[in-house]
Amino acid sequence: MSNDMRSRRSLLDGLSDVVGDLWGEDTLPSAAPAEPVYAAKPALPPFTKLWKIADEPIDWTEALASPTPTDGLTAPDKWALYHTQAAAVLRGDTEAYLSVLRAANPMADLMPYVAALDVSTANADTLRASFTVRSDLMENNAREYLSGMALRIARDLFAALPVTNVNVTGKQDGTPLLTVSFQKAELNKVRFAFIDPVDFVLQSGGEFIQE
Amino acid sequence: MAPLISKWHRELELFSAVKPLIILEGNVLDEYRYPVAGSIPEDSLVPLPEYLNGFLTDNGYEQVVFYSNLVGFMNPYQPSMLQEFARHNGCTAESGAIPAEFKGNTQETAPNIIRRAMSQTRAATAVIMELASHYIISPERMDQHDVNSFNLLMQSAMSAATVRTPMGRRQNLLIILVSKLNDLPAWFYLSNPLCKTILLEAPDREERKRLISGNAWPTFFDSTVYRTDMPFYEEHPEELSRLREKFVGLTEGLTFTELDAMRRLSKAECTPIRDLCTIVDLYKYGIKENPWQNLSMDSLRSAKQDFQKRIKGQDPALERTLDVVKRAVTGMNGLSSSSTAKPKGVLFFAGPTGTGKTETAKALAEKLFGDESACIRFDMSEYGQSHSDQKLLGAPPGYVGYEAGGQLTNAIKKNPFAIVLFDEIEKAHSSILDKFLQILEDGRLTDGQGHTVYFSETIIIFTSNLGMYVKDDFGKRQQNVTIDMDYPEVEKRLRTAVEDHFKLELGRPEILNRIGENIVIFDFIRREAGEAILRSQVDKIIRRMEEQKAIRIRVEDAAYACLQEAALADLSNGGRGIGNQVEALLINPLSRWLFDNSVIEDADVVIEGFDVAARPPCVRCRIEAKEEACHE
Repeated sequence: MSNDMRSRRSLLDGLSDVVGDLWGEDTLPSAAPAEPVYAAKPALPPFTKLWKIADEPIDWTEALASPTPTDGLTAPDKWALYHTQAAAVLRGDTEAYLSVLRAANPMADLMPYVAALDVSTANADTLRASFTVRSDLMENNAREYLSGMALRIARDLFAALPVTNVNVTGKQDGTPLLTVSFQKAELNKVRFAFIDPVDFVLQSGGEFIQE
Repeated sequence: MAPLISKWHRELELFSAVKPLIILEGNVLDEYRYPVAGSIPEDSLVPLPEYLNGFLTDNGYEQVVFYSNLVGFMNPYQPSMLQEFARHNGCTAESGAIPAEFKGNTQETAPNIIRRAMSQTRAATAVIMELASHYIISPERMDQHDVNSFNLLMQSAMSAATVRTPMGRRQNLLIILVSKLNDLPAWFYLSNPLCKTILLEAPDREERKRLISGNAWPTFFDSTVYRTDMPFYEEHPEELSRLREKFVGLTEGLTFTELDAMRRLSKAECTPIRDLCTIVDLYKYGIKENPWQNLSMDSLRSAKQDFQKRIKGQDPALERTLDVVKRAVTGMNGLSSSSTAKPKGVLFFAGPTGTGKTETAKALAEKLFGDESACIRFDMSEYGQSHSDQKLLGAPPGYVGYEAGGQLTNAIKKNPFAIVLFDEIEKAHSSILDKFLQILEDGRLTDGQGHTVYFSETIIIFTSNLGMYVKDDFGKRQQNVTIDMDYPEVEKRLRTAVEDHFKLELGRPEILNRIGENIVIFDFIRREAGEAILRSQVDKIIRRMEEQKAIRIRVEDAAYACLQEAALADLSNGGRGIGNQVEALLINPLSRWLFDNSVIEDADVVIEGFDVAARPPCVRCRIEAKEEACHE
């Protein structure tokens, strides 16, 4: 297991209360790390590298076909959840999407980098994500932070659910700073280790509204 | 969906109840589809050892262990079984294995442990010996220890006990997995009433169909692709069924491991459901442009006219040839057969020599693949010996030339999109015909190194001069067709002769059946076609002289008429005969004249006449003054 995965798993373990907040209406956490555990984890990548990695995709077709993990890597309880939800998810049931997001919480590891994060479904094809920036992380290179964050959120959501589009909005004090729409087909072709996130967001039609 | 249980599984079920020693031979390194829901989910693809572990535990065996001469005894799927096995048979498990050599003098060798395990009655036990092909160097070079070890295994089978289990009585069982049966000493399995050999083959059509239609179907696709594409196919089940049929046809001969690799490739590439079959090409050939998909319909529409420029006087043959290409392009090829892995088309060109058979193949290669070099030609007169198949497919292991591979298989591996031309097929040794049969039927060949090459993107063309001569009642060769016969008569006689050759002379009607109605008879070069060929050859010479030497040649009408009469006097040798005449009457005398008159470059030469009766033939020429040439 890689260091990243280890740290992600430990983050997930310590984030159960944050998870509850994350998906509740109007109860988004207003400040970064709710748990001191974040500060104690030096393995956490700096946000400048965040778009280069992403969660492992949930293999919904595999989960549909098999009640037990076929990859030998996924925990059996997690697989059981996927297996239960797979048929509905592959039908495009948006309720099932949200259930999966609540249960699997794929973006728990991004919480240290944002003040708040919210995801909703537009339809079976599209997810909408909105994050509130952390002001301190905006200080050095605001565009890179916004773009990297948007890209990473999109990557994690594409990995979690079989959607074709993810629309991401970055906000500060309720004011949008960046809106961008990512298409899965486009992201599939990208070698993330080599891209500049700002360029990529601009190529994807992203718009920096004000900073 | 009702379970589909393979033949070998049913045989294993049947014979494990009555034979204590079972040898599984053949495709033992492959994965297999578990056919029923049990300890392994239904339709899962698992390696053979895991399959056997599932099968045996589902059938009531209480101890299942695997033996490999590198590791010893183990059970990576249910480690607790190994501990029980060690306890019952007086040995010690360390780090998940019971180390044991295959041969030796101690009681702790694997055959001794197996003998104890087979004869005990405390727990129904199955021992599976993996990679058994590699336990000894060779059955012919066994030492006494090797012999003793196999003897002990035979004794194990003889002393196999029956054990009462909650699921009924079970006989202790020894299963040996080998790639080839003759990797074991013959005395071990031949005339051995305790032993049953079961052959494991690559998945058949039904198995492949089940894989692509059963629980595993969604797993061929990325989740997003499946969610977005599948509703269409749920509404149009006939489309889905057609797609699956095509995939099943294209994957003939592939192992489950290969099918599984294709499945993962399709998922990784996010292949749309409609493009599933393109994954087969990607898997077989790697990243290669498929010229069949890039063929322009307009280019094909003009193909006949383009061909007529190159091949004169063969309109019916060209028409038949293009029919096959059109069938390939429209995907109608092979609709009448069970396999879509067959070549795109098969043509058998017969007819007099020099009538354009090889040229048609080259023209076809240029039209389809943009390059004449895509016509890979094999002169079968070079393959007349009994060992010639090794030239085509490569020598077997241990023979000289093994590393080089086969000429045919190497060529197709390098360029799977090609016209494969087997010239003068009647001169090939009969052992090669069997290889052709495999190409025509299955669309694939395996070379001496075990690599399989596929012919499913090729057009196969055989050419032959069969039927030009037949033997009379006294065994004397006599001409069967002559130039004074009309085309229908030539066609009828040659077709009959080709059919007789395969049916009566070779006794191989099955080859003829694979060629079907695709025998294309080329006509003699008639006078009109001969004139056109001559004109094109003379024009070509004139053009080349002007381009390369700036020597402008003009042939006066009377001289040309004389050349034409002489060149076309005997058309029985076809276009090649005309070419020979052009060389003898025009090229040689002209070059002699140019040399003798020191005309090296930049000149206007007029050919006034030919002296065709002279030995050697001569030309009468004059050099035109430049002013005259300009004036003209």
